[in-house]
Amino acid sequence: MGERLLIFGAGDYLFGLKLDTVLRVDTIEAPDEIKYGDRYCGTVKISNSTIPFVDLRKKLNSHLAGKPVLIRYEHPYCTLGILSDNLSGIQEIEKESLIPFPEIVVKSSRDILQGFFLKGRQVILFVNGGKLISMDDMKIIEKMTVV
Amino acid sequence: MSEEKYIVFSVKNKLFGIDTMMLINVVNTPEVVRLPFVHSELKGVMLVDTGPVPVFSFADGASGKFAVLVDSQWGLLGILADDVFGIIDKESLKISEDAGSDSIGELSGRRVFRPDLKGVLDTVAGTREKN
Repeated sequence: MGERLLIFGAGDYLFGLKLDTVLRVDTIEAPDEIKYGDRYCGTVKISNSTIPFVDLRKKLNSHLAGKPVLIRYEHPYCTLGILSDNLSGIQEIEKESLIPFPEIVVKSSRDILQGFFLKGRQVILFVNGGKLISMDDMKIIEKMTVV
Repeated sequence: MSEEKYIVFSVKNKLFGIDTMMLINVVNTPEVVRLPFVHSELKGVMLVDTGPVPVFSFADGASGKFAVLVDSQWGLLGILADDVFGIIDKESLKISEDAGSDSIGELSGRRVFRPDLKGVLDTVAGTREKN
């Protein structure tokens, strides 16, 4: 049985996130309100909802212009958004085709990077959505949400 | 009994030497898959037959024209180098009396350092602060 991944781009990279954790994907036209804390985290107000996010575009020095794509997914702490450059589609991969990273890479990325797979010559990085934001980041977001 | 030899390479004008017992390969113009979210000294991974090998740089701004692949006690590792001087036998590496534990000797008047692989790994893994 394969794994279905949502593929998206941010900066120079392509990422894959488990599709079954994804709740919604929107291109943000004109957010009502967007606030930034430290460490590329923030909150965006869309309609009546305040959504915490991590901005991978800023984190990875993306120079792409255009409207960001907000991917909402189930993070262990809350519903979290990822601001990315673009969507690249959905890919079903066999578990055997996922190449795990050496332990030093997993450690250095603080468990965000788990492995990758190749689509032609393109490398798609499989990310652990649960680790994209740390407890420290979460505290910053909570403060911003309360104020 | 084989003589002790070292692969000698430069990173930003600093010479390093690694025992050829550990040497797997020297790759010209290596294809390194760059990675986000990792320590800056971990430049990415190189894909070899056995899987991805982590590649490190010992200095900012090194060209990475070569990658020296070694089989260390911590597994396969790649080290980016600007230039590779070749394989030099121990006799040709002048051992200076004041050479510390981080130095192997001298080559043409230049000190040849022993790369601190454990230090780099600890730094990259976040278990040691960068000096």
